[in-house]
This record gives sequence, C-alpha cells and structure tokens, in this order.
Amino acid sequence: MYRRGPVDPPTPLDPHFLHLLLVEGQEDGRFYEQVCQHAGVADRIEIRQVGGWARFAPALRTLVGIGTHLQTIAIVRDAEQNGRGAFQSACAAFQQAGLPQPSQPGRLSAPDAQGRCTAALIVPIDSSGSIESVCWASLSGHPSLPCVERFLECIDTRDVPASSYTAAVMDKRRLWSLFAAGVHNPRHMNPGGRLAESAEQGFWDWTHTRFDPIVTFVRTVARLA
Amino acid sequence: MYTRLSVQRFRGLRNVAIDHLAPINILIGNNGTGKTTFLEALWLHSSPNGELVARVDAFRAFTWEPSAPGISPTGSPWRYLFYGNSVHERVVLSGQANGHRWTFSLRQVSDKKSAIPIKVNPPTIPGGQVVSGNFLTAVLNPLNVTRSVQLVLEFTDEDTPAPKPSVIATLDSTSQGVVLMQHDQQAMRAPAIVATLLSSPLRYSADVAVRYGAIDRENRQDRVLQIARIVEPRLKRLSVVPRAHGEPYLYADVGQRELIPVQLMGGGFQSLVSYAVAAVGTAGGVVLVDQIENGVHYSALERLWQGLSALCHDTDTQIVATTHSFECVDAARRVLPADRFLVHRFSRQDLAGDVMVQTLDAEMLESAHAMGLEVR
Repeated sequence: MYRRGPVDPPTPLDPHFLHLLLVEGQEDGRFYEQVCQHAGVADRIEIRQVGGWARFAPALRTLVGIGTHLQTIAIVRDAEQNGRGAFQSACAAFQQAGLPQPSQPGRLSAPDAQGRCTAALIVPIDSSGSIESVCWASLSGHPSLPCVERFLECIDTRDVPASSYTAAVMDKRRLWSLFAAGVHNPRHMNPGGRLAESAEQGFWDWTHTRFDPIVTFVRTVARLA
Repeated sequence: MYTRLSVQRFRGLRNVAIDHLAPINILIGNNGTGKTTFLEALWLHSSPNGELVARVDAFRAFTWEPSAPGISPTGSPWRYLFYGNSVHERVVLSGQANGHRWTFSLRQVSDKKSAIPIKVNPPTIPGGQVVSGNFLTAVLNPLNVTRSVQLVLEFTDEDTPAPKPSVIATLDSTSQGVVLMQHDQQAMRAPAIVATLLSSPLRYSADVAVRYGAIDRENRQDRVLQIARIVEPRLKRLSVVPRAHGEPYLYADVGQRELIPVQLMGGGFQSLVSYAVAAVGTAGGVVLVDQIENGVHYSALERLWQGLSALCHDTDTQIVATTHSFECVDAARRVLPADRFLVHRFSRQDLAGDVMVQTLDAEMLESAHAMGLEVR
C-alpha cells in the first residue's frame, strides 16, 4: 500500500490577510500565488482552493461566517465552454452565501452592510477556454508551438479527432505536451510538471498583454488597482 | 427532538439562536464563547422547573451561597445565571421540540409590590439558618425579614399563553444574616422533553450505576456494552453492585479474576459508559455532553460516532455535544450520514463582541476540508 507523505494540517484563515481569493484546485492556487507575487500583492491576499468549481457555493457559505475580518472575497475560475454562464454561476454562489454580487467580471461589487465586497474573474475573459488557454496564447511566436500542433495532429488522426475536444481541453493538451518536452524549465532537464511548476520556475512572462486581466484582477482584489 | 433554541441574556450569551438542530449536533468554538452555556440552556429549557435552575451551577462544581451581610442589588447568589450578572433583565430561553414550542424565563423580583405570594414549606423554625446542599435550602423566621428578593420562573406555551410565575427561591435579609431558601422544587408541568446533561467535571457519577441497573432490568444492556467495547474490547459485562450505604457501584468484567469498579477504569471507558447509559436511558429525549472527546483516543472517535449515531437512531435520542478536538469533528464528518448531523460554530468577532453561531452542514464541512480550512 502506498503511504502518502506528510499532508498539511488544516489552518484557520490568517486574520492579517483582508482579501481572499478562491481558486478551483491546488494547481491553480500555486499558479495564482505566482501571479500575486508578480503583482506585488502576495502579502495582501490569502488564496484557498475549493476542490473544483462546483464547491465554490458551499465554500462561500462556510467562509461567510468564519471570515468576518475579510474585506474582499473573490473567485477566479475557468470559462470552460461558457464564460457568461461561469460568471452567473459565481454570482449565484455569492448570493447563496448572502454576499453582494459583482455586476461584471473583474470588478468589485458594492460593499454589503459589513463592508465586504466580492469579485469574480472568468478566464479567459473574452472567450471559452481555461487558464491554460491564456498561457498558451501568451506563448504566441514560441518556436516550439508548431511542433506541438503537429504532434497533436498526428495523435488525433490515430485516436480521438480534435473536434471532440472543447477549446479548454485542447489548450490543456497543447500546454501539457509542451511541458512534457520540458521546455518550461531551465535546460529542459525536468520534463513533465504542469501549470504550478511552470509558474514557480518563472516560465511565464507576466507582462504579456494576455495576462493583463489576471494581474489587474488580483490588484483589484487587493484594493491596489 | 429539539429543532431550535434561542437564548437571551443567559450567563455569557446575550442573544444567540440555533435555528436548525439535527439528530446529532457538535458545538465548536473558542474558549469562552458559550458552548457549555448553550448546553445548560437546553437542559433548563427541556423541563422548566426550579430544581434544574438550582442544580445547573452544580454542573460546574459551583454551589450557591447567600451574600453576606445584607442583600446588595447584584448580590443574589443566582446572579451568574443572568447576562452580565444583571438580575434586572430577565433570562429568556425559547425553543421547539417535538413540534411543541415553549418559553422559559427567569427574573428577579426585588420590590414588595411585585412580589409573588409564597407559602413557606417546611414550617418556619425560629432562628434562621442555612442548610447545605447543591442549592442551599433554608428555614427562617419570617418575622425577622427586613428585605426579600425572589427568583421567579415563568413558563409560556401555546396552551399557557399568559406567563405562569413560580417562585424558585428567596433571599431574605434578617436580623441574623442573609438566608437563602428554595421553593417550588417540583416541575411546573411534566417535562416537555427528557434531557440528560453530562458535564465535563461530573462525567461519571453514581447515578450512572442506578440508571444502568434500570437498563439491565429491561434487558437492554447490550446497547451500552457495544458502545463501551469501542474503547475496552475485553468487556464482557457490566454489573451493578449494591453497597450497604449510599448508591450502588458499577463494575466491569474485563476477563480478570475480579470485576473492576468503573471509576477505576480509564477515563474514556467511563465517558463511553456514561454516554451509552444516557442515550438508552433518555430514549426519545436529548443527551447533552460537554467535551465529548474527553479521554477517548483519536483512533476510537469514528467508532464512537458510528456507535452513538446507530444507538441514537434506534432510541430516537438526540445528541448535542461540545468539543475542542479537530479529530472529533473530522471523524464525524467522515462517518456520520450527511442528513444526521450539524456542526454549530460559536465565535466572537472581538473580545467585547457578542457571540455568533454559524451552522455548518456536511457539504460545508467537506468544503472546509477541501480548502484545508480549520473551522474550530
């Protein structure tokens, strides 16, 4: 039987952080931590993963009573196939928790009676897809991208056709194929890994315009925008 | 089963309500947020009568004593029942159980005009003195009384919309000092719901042996043994052994040559025997347990919850328990059916702030688990 190593014990919300960003999974948490580092707000925002987009609603209901010190509670999630639907779903989760709802993605809501605001960002902000779609788009012009496209085309002629995949899944396949080649880490000596590792290894150019909405969003959440 | 309870101005709770109570309820929160107080409030509300009011402080190993000399406005021995010790504002406990809603309130009457006529029973004996007891009883010569205050209980429900007052106790200043006297020990009516309170300092008492004896006579002892074996698998039987004087002892047969008094067994064993005896003996009622994890090894907590859940389901008994243990809450999350339990989190926003209660259902606990969020 495989014995898992040490697991972090649960921790209470840190009262020094007045702004909370909820993300879908562990991978996202580590990725957005790097975004916050770049944006200069890592010391202002606590990030928690909720274990999948379907858990935003119960997470908010839990946090609304526990995080009474919070000034901002924000959600960032993938658009998947329907960005508008994803934003409405985030707003419904805020509403179920008795929190105010933002009027549009990326913007703070009006404060509630306790002075708390909410915000939700759907990535990509303007189309279907996922955070991997944004990352992939930021690599435009990278010399290895045509290789990845040809590799996947070759696979898809022999397996499930590309038309079977959503845009979000296609971009994940592209990015992970690139990671499999190890291009995201120095000297390509450690192939594999995913979004979190690539961000932690400094692979992404956060100044790329594709990342602007995300960087602006975390600064908005931290009340620095 | 209790479905809700609101507590106003009782001990450290100014205004707290839990609107959804499940078959199993776990109260969590920082020290001093009122979890034990909420248990006491439920216990008092379960059966509005003077005896429970008099006994409730004893669960914290505290007994009432008259203030001396004279009676100051805040000197009543029952003042700790009132929020901020302010006896001028009444305690109100209002709740619903088994579809029946009733309200219990306590107030102090300090002026003669509002005083409620009482009969002194037992007969007056000259030269007032205080007689010992959990709730001090006294006899006095009423002629010597210079000032008197009353502790009054009022009960209302759908059938009794006008408050029915009952004097629980009087505190009298006399020429010979201050005398505390207890009145009206009997319940104002049959208890609306049977409740057993197992406090932390007095978890196991001789009363458990008496109650186990009744369970044994009804041949329901297996349910108790099943729970007790969670921490003592060698247990064969429990036996009530009478004593020449005093209440009987409960002995455990763990396969040794001689049975062992339960008081000499481990703390966890005593706890589980107490819980099981209470659950079986309080069938259809509510068992209130302070610090339910006390003495129980973390590895036994899942089986404790599974055992208690099954037992309470079969006996239609509700559990409301406090804990400070993460393992205890997490064990409940892992093994209890989602529709059978709720966690109620007591907190204060700041040191001077009011206590708030947030109820967490199974889905919210799973969510907290996924977030790595400590909710205690």
